[in-house]
Amino acid sequence: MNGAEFIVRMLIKNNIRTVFGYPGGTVLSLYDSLYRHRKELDHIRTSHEQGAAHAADGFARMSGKPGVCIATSGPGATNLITGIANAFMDSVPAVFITGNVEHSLIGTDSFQEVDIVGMTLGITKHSWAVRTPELLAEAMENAFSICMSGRRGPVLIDVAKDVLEGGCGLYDDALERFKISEIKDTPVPESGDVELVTKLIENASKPLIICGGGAKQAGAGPELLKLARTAGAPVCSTLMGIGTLPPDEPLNLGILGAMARKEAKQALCECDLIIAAGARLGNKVTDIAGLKASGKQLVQIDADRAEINKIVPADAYIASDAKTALKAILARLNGIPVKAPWFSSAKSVSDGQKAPEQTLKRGWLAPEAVFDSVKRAAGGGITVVTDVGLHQLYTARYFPIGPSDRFITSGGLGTMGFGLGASIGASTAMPGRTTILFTGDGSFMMNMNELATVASEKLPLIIIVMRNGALAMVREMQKAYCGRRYSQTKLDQKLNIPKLCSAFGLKGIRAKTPAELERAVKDAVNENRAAVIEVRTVLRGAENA
Amino acid sequence: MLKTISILVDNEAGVLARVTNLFSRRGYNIDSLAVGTTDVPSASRITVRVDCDARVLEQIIFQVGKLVCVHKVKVLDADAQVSRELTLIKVRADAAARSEIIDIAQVFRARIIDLTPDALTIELTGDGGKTDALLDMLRPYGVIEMARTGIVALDRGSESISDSPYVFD
Repeated sequence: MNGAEFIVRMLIKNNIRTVFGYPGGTVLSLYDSLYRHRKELDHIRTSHEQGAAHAADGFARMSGKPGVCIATSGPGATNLITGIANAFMDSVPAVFITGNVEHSLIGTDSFQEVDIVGMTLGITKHSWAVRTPELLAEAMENAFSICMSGRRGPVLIDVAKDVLEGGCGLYDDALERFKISEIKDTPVPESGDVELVTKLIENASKPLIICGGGAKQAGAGPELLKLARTAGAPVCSTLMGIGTLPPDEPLNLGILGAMARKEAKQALCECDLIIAAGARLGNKVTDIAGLKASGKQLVQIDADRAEINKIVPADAYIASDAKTALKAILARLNGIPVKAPWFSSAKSVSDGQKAPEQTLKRGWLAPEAVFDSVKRAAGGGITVVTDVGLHQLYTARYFPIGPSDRFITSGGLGTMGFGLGASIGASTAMPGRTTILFTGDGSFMMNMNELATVASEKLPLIIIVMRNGALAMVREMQKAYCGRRYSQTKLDQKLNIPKLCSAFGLKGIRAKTPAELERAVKDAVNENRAAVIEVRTVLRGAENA
Repeated sequence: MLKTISILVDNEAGVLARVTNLFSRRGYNIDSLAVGTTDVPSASRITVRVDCDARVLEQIIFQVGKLVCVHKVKVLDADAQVSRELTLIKVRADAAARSEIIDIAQVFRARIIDLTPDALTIELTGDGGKTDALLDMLRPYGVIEMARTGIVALDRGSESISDSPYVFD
């Protein structure tokens, strides 16, 4: 058993059954072992390493297990970087394995040599520059528990070619003794902290909860809803927190940020206490410093202690995962009279589906009509993935993510081109589920090479390309800040997506009416096959959304 | 305010890069940095002096504490620490200037550790401020080059960083 064989057997021991990647010179031996174990461990080869990295990310978000992604040295490794950064920003557990040149060549600028460990220091939870068999054993023994413990995130194992090929006889013990280690979870809430937090919540007359990816990842939906109802607090969500609360819940005011509904903006403006549950209060979500300066109090609940007080000092906090923290708060609030909500929204998030009355050019659809048609055709229990751009914010705001649905988006890094790879991963993680990708014409063009992967893997992905002939989010900024000088944000409208898809061996359709769209989605779902559906969509700017 | 932070880390390749990368990525300004092994062969100690406010200091503690290679982080008590820095200064010194420079060195309890017909090298141990004062005195003679280790520091008393409340294992 050489290093490569050890890696593959350790992956299997960690209950990994699917990996993503792309072969190359320094990982020859690893792919040789993957070939040997192809019945136990499925490998999906993408068109480009970035696609594989996003697929591992999507797989992890869907399965709750670490995504695994393999690439060769040099360009193979550098192509992963965007994917690693994306996983890091959104706290997604993933193990990236790269080959590197023989250890005797390292530092000599040899062919396809890069210092990938150095390049990814700031975007990994941990990494190993493996140049000896001992270190390979240590890395493989710890990688999975590190990426899953506490606040999740990616790790990188960079292995020299000779370590992959050698070390025979040195790994037997490590393989034998390995047991899936217990995940080291976040600390239990300190009772003093819980008391302080509870007191602030009790004393607040207008509390508001911001629900983030940490709450969603911890499965804290039921506790969050209970707290909201007990304290009479409306709930706003970050992109990462979407789906934690049901869309028809009256206290759920939907997303924050540029595309927030006016109810959400108003509640945020009027509240006197903000309870951030697993939300890191990023600058796209809210100006927390401004809100604090205007006299609002802040409670932070975060699994990562470093998030507490990061942007502004919190008035009270609990350093623990959201589910545990909220349970502790609820236990202390037990018995106190339930407060009536101080803010009521006339419409729930799932009511926001009606397209506004406006005359559209023939063949053009309002986004609400697109979502309505897709939702009706696809039903419940679906996975919704987005790319990045205005279509992403529209999906986040208008598509009702029900309790049985899942929502996957690139929140922190805002990676255009994330969607196709991520939906490949998400669909692979749960093959029986309908997976729908909403993308824009800009994002679609960035990584459409992965259509080849969709075709070769026969993945029944439904890809809705919301075409508006522009990089609309940037265009909106140019409208606001650059005197309507639309520099480089107009996209070529001549691209024929159905023809492009047929070249990839996929069915591409242009839907001109909501009925055509609904039919196209229904057909794809019924026939359990992929479909790329192009819709001309009017995406209004945030101020008119 | 200047704060001295002690960080116990794995004595392994790449660990210093991880710590300094974090400082530069998050925009924390390093005033002084010193690294060395400890009585435990598997551990190194990084002493870093940072100019920051209380909130940034808290951030540094918890961000650094998240690194897998970091075992302990401790902010040393400004009023109850011993800190030292070793400096070597090579000064131009012909026969005429030599005795004057040696007199200056003696006032600072510095030692002459190398001597040539036209230069001498002074070794000084101090807490930083003393080094700057000596340097000011030597400048008129012509400082050829100098090297400083960066500050190393320990808390006064019998406690060890191992007793620190900041545990990140």
